[in-house]
Amino acid sequence: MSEERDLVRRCLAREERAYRELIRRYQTPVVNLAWRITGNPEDAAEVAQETFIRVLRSLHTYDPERPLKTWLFKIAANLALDAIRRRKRRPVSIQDLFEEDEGPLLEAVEPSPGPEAMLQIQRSVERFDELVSEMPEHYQAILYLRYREDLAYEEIAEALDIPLGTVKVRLHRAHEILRRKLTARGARGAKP
Amino acid sequence: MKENLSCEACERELVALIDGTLTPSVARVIEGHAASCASCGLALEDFRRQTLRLRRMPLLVAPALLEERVLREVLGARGFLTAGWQRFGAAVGAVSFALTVVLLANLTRLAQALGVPDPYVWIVSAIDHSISAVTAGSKWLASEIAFYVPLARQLWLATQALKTIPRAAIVLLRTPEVQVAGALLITLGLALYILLRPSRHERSVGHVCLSL
Repeated sequence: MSEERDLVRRCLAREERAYRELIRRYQTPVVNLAWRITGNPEDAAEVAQETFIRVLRSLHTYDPERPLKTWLFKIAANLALDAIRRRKRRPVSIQDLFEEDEGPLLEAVEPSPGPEAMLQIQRSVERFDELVSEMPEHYQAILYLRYREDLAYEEIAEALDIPLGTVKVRLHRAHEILRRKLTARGARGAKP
Repeated sequence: MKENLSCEACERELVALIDGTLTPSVARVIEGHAASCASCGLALEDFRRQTLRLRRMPLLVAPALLEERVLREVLGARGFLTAGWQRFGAAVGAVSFALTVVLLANLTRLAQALGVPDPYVWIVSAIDHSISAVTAGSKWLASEIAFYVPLARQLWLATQALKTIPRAAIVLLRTPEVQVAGALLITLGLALYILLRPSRHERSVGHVCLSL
């Protein structure tokens, strides 16, 4: 935290090296949150760029008592939502997830030695990632912040500007959707 | 335990249990239920597996030029100029300001030394010619259109009055005091413009020039 404060102080003193350090430290998390929300790498890059520009220009308004990362995420999430509003991207609905018909058995793959089994595991992981990326953006964002960025529920609530209860509900629903989808694929894959 | 808690209520808390956000007493109740209920136990296992996979969800690599693009926007030209080049630019700017002042103050003398007509005379004569053209135009208008005669006459009288300005200016501009004052005024105007213009780049070459 003190290191973070020092970095902010140096940025406020307009040190170019500090600017670079801040961008390098947070660019991957910001790009990925934007990617999870917009569902598009190009949009994510634009959102990340705009996020850092805004952050560096309005750093004097940042409250050093709060984590810098959460503040960055909050700005990035708002900009990403603006981007999808502009592009009128239709999020994938829960119904879409269940109506989709593709893919072999996912959960039935048992790790076992041999290249074929390893390939199956690899494919299983890829299918799982596909399922996550097909989820509505607000679920993806919350899953990313919780499990990739290891943010506490309170921090997620602050970053996404939603009540704490909504964070809990959305996390539960996201897990449930994934589980149902995985089970549905498993059942279909098990059929001869 | 199972009797006191519905499976639906238990499932709602499973993710929070995995994430470790439940109080110890609630966590014990949920764990107890999951241990005694096959359906909830299976759900807990599935959620645990999902959590492990989610912790390894793929990451997008940040664009290579992101840092430079952001810095270009935030710092402007400063990001691309080294300190040495900034100093060089500032020095060139300061010298050019000084040369402009000296040149403007000695323009007449320089023209005499080079054997060319006084530049101030060119300027004044250009203004004089412009005014004469307007006067001639007014006269033509007055002679051509009777309706506009009173208006044209007023215009002609006004331009006649304006003709005294270049003559007065030529007398004034020939004095070194007015030349220096004029040069200083121009420099001051430029300096004020650079200082006060709306700019995002607070450390641009113009600002550094002024600080020198």
